[in-house]
Amino acid sequence: MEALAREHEAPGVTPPWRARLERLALAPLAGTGRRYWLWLAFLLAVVGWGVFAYSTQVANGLIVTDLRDRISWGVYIASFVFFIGISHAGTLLSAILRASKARWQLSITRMAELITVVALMVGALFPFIDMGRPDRVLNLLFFGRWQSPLVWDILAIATYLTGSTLYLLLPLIPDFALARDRLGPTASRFRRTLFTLAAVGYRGAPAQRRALEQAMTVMMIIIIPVAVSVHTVVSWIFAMTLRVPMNTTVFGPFFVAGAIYSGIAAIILLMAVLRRVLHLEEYITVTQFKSLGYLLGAFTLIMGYFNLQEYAVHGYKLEAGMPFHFEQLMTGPFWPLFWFYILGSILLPGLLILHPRTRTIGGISVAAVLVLLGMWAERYLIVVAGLRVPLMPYAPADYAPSWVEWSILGGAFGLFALIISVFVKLFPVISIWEVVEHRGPEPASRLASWAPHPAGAALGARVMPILIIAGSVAGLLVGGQAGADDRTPTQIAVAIPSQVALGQTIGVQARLTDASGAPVPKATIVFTTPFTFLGASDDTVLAETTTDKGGAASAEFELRMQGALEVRAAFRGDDRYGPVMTSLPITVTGDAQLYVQRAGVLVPGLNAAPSQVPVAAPLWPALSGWPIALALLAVWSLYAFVALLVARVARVEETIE
Amino acid sequence: MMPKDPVPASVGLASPDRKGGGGPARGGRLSRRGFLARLGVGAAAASAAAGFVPIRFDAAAAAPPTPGPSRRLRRWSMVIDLRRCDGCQSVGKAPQCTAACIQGHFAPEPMEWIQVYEAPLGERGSQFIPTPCQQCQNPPCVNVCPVAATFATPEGTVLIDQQRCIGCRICMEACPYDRRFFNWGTPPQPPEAMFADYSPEHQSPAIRGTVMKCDFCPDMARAGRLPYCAQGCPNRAIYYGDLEEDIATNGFEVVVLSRLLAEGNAYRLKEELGTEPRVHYIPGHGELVGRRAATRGRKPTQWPWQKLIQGATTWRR
Repeated sequence: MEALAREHEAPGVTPPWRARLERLALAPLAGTGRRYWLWLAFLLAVVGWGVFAYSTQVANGLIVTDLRDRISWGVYIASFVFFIGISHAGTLLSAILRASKARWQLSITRMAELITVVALMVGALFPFIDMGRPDRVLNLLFFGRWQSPLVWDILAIATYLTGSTLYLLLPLIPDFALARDRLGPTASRFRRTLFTLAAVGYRGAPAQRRALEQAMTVMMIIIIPVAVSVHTVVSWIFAMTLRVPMNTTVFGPFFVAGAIYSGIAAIILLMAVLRRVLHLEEYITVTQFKSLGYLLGAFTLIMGYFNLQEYAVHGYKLEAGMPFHFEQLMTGPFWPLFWFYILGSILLPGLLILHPRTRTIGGISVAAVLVLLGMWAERYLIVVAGLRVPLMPYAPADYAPSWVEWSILGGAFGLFALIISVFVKLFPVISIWEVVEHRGPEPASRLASWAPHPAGAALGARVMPILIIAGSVAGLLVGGQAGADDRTPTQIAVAIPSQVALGQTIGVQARLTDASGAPVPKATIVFTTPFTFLGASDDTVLAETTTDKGGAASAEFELRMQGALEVRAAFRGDDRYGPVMTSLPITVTGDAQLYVQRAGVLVPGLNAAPSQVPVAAPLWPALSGWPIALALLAVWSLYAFVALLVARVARVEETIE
Repeated sequence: MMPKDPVPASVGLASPDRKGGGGPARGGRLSRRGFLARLGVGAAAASAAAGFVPIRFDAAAAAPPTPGPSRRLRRWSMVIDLRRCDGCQSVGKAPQCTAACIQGHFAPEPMEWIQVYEAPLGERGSQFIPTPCQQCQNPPCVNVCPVAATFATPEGTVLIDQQRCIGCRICMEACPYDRRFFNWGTPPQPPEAMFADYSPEHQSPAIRGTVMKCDFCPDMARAGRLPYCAQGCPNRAIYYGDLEEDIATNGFEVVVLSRLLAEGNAYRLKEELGTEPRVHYIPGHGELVGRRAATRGRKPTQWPWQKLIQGATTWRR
């Protein structure tokens, strides 16, 4: 500590506010109190309890949750959406504010970026916790399909996590350098090595600075569409289903808005906590709270608008399922959550921010807590209430999260706090150089004035031909009749082609006459063919028709059976006329596929015979997913470009030496 | 309605002393062997039953006994004549299609792959709708599966490969008919299920943490037999057929499928969703078998094999 103090006094150039900032921001890095270890132990216990709960789930299966067939997603998926939502704040907020050159947020950008990375890491665990077969997680790699919204989620979240980690680390480089230089030999060896490596040899040389700023500009632009895409894709695991009330087109933007809304609240809460714990009152002032408060206030309006959109459009039409949904939300089992969400986390926070007397650090922090609770409730309602709407005539199912689910949720919050606590201990939580640059009267090249300190540099870095067959005239057969029958015997003549093509429509003519040759009118002639299918044999009716005054009847039918068949024409007899039947051979040729699938999805490499489902499908079928692959390629090549820029920072350092 | 089972969960598979209304014919519950024998499905069934192995598709042995369409792919389809379905009120038992399916597939409790829903008909009446997997030609479940564990065969039958399924359950959210079931715990099954040679066409033995559903029994059809549900229906309300050959049978009559659909004013469930199901319904409420629409209620389904596997639990509520 002596060395640190001396270094601060020595150059008279350093203004006292800057020394104070550096001391404050670096203080948690220098020493650790007992209270911190107690807090860490507490968080570890909470996480440990969550891990224990998960171990019972692994041992017994998802039966330990309260999820069942009708409501098969619950707390896990709701929390997944919630945490991914929280993550938006960070990067989106700091990127947008940085791009728009707002300055008040400089001292909180790092916290925002930190929330993003940690919320993503914790949120991304939930789909895996929710899996029935976590042991088969690698199937996603071996058999992954571009068509699945779940795969989109995984790709988008992986991309976002990588991007936001880069975006968190880039502005940290100069602060790592500062920590490396200021902490000096008094810091532990672990910390010195860490900072030396993490600073990638940053010295503030103009070339290094340019490379770093270029990298940050690229990241802050690319991270915005990536962040929007992530929450849109998350909403699609619901919106892509044919379920009332989830199949709504508003879900994408609604989820993005909700994500930013809860994200802002998360930053406010973290700000309020760290401000007290780390004594950052000078840098995190009521200005930051008010500015974020106004942003939160604006989003209460946007959220209100989206809810109006959702409930007005559904409520006006009340299509099947919606009356049930409205009832369960507003007066049914979900009413406390629903009304807390609408009144407590949209209306009330808006009022708290609107009124000058509550527009204080305390008031805004309370609003933030309300928003966070309400947004978790909203995610829960979307998942659980959404799935509770019966799709078939059955009584609605019920769901009350089990202790395992609550414990795992608690463990996740514990993990969230744990990672943040550790980070705060290892890295400066305020972007010192950006604050310095903004506040100081010193020129923009201030970073260059740091005393060089020798250190190493390091960097780390998928009809048929129509067969016309002449119809031959069929022969004439006299049907048998019962002897004791006093009805007039009949005879039937049938004209039918002897050979037809498969699928061809056949016209048949029949003439029913009595023994004297007089026509029999209004008689029903049934054309049948004896057929055996799945072990059952029957005279299968092909057509039924009625004779006219001349005793003639005609019918049309299509034969879809193949081979040598027999077509029978029969009159069953009535009060006056006796029954008669004739039988004619017909050959159906051809083997064309006649039934056309109305719709269907070809799974590349998988639509093979069912008895031989392939053990391994082609890895990431190339063609079907090219639009996704292109977008991913674009984003990831920009990441690579950023990595190259960081490499340049390191290389420049070598030339300085 | 989710029926509550009044029968204790400890009913053995072949306990001869069991009384009550649940089992198939002749008072007591029949064993699977007896059940198959009762169906009289011939030598193949008898040999399979003797080995306690479920009847499975064997490409070499099971040459189609019917003049099948050479080189033409089957398009298995189903027509359920609701005019003849009385929810098994007339036989005084739980719906026999469901019972036969459970017996034949060793379906774990509380899965009803073919479930007989009682839907209101006007204010007082009701109709029974036996609902198997609808075998959509535009299957939403196949679309969303992240690992292609659920897939459409070339014949168009939608199956699940439980050995690949990761248990994410997104297919259950995607299915608009709620025809998918999850093995929440260790599935209760009879011991002989363990000896079954697993295939997606005969999902036995069931695996914890995976999704199951009606497999439409294409293996049975290929071997020249009706699916279990169609065999089990005492009123012969279930026709099984082939859209390609345009033929269907309920075991007694053989009919031209397209004629049956047209003559019966057939419809499909939730036609407006565009899923193009292959299961068709002929509207009715059991009138052809003497049921009055106002006679409500059906017996709850039973599963004979809880407690047969150590550690197996039912997750029925």
